[in-house]
Amino acid sequence: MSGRSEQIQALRKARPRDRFLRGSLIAVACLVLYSLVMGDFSFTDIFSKQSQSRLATFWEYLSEKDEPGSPRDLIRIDLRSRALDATMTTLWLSIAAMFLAGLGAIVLSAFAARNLATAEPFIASQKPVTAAKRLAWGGVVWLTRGFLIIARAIPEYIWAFLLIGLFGLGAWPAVLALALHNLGILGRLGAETVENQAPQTPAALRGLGASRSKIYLTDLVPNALPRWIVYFFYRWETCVREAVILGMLGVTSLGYYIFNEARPRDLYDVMLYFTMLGVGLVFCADLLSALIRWRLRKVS
Amino acid sequence: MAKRLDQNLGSRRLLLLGIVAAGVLALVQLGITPGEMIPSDASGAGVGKFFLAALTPATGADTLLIAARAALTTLRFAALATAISVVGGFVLGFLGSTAWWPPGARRNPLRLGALVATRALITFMRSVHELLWAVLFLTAIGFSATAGVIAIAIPFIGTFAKIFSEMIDEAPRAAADALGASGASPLRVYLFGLLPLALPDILAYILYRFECALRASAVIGFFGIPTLGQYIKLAFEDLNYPVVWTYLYMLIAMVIIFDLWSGSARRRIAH
Repeated sequence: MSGRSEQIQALRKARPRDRFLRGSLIAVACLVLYSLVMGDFSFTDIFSKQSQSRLATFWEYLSEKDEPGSPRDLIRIDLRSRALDATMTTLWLSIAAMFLAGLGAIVLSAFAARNLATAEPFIASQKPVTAAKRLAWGGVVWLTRGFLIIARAIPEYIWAFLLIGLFGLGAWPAVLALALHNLGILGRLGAETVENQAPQTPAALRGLGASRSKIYLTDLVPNALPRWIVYFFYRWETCVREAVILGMLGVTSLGYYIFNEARPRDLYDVMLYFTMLGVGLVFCADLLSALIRWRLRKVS
Repeated sequence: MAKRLDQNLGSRRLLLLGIVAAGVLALVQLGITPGEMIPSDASGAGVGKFFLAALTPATGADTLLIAARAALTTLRFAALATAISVVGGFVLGFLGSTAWWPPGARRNPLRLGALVATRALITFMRSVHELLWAVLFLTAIGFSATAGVIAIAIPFIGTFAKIFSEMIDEAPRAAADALGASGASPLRVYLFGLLPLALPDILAYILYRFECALRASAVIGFFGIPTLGQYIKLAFEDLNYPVVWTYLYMLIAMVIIFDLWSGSARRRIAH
């Protein structure tokens, strides 16, 4: 029996261990502990007397019935009548943004893919390549990737806040904000898909004298397409959620009615009504996207 | 085979055409014309000024100090929200998966009801954006740092629960079946037969979500928590564009550093 436990001990000692991962784990644990100690999170905050009384007021307003025909009731009816409009605006914002992001990603993925945007794509060049040319191609990849990472690192909401401030209120800065962030993500994923493709066909095409754009459009894009469509719909789901909240910045999507119309008037039932419309819209988008992804997986 | 390939291409072409048609229709519905995409002269000057300031971010010691402190706060809120979400995600993900169920449990209406209820809850948590949760908290109980963390955590719990349950349901079943057949309780089957197999994927996904938590934590600053978002908002409203860019670069640097670290961690987990 003791031989057995010694064997187990020996196995335990010989198990694969990684210093980097272990260090990372300790660092993460320390970070979480530090955040707890710093008092960012305390239950007394949410259960304080102040928040209790606020919650009571919230329920009171929520359950209160206004006289039919009273000014408050008229506003409520007016706001509710704009539900369809707000829902459709939310939907259109998300679709327009993803359309532009998808178009941009098809173009930028080519310039960010290291196997295509290089002085010698797929096969060695017959003529010696000058250092300047190599440097120029390196610069192209570097600049494209730099742009993509900046676009991705800044969240949609912050892009929208900045662009609405600069362009003035309108649908276009909101669409541009959603498109920029998603372009950053789709462009990066797109470039990875292109880089991971089998190099045989592109090399053969290159050997026949095909240009980079011909290789990209006739081989790399068609092969990457199923994957890209999956990514596209994954992002669209998120984009619908984001389009809801961009309303808080003044675009008339669902968030506008929640934050700028219903909340200041204490019409909490209208607030929840529009929130649930958002939930319904996101749910439908999820369902459609899951359906399309499922069908794609089935046929391909 | 040829026919199937043909159908396949046909449906894909239809899908692409549908996307393009919907995209154009959306732009038309929103009244976005090519002319409108280019800012007018008046706002164009502001746009130019803002993006030119990207080349000359403010580098004063006080600005950098504020940026560093805000970045640390952003990191703290992201870490806390993610930690809470991982725990919540495991609990709900366990309840929302079926792989650990003993054979025959599928016919039990009570279990099926609980599964449907859990999945509905998961979907609901996920469908409301973290900022919207923040607004609801703001209205119902008043806003505090804790409410901010929970606002981020709720949709993240939903996402984790969904992904964890899917990963666990897709993990190989042989070990779980063997444990179940030798009389292990469902919880043990889950903990020792299924979870270890799905763990690499789960860890990789947590790393990816932490990047999203960083961004969410920055944005929640717009609601009064001193993360990067708050300072970006204040500096932009003062038209202090070089300072705005310092904070933006701070956020970008955080994402890049985290990306490099998580990339190498993911590669090591996969081995």
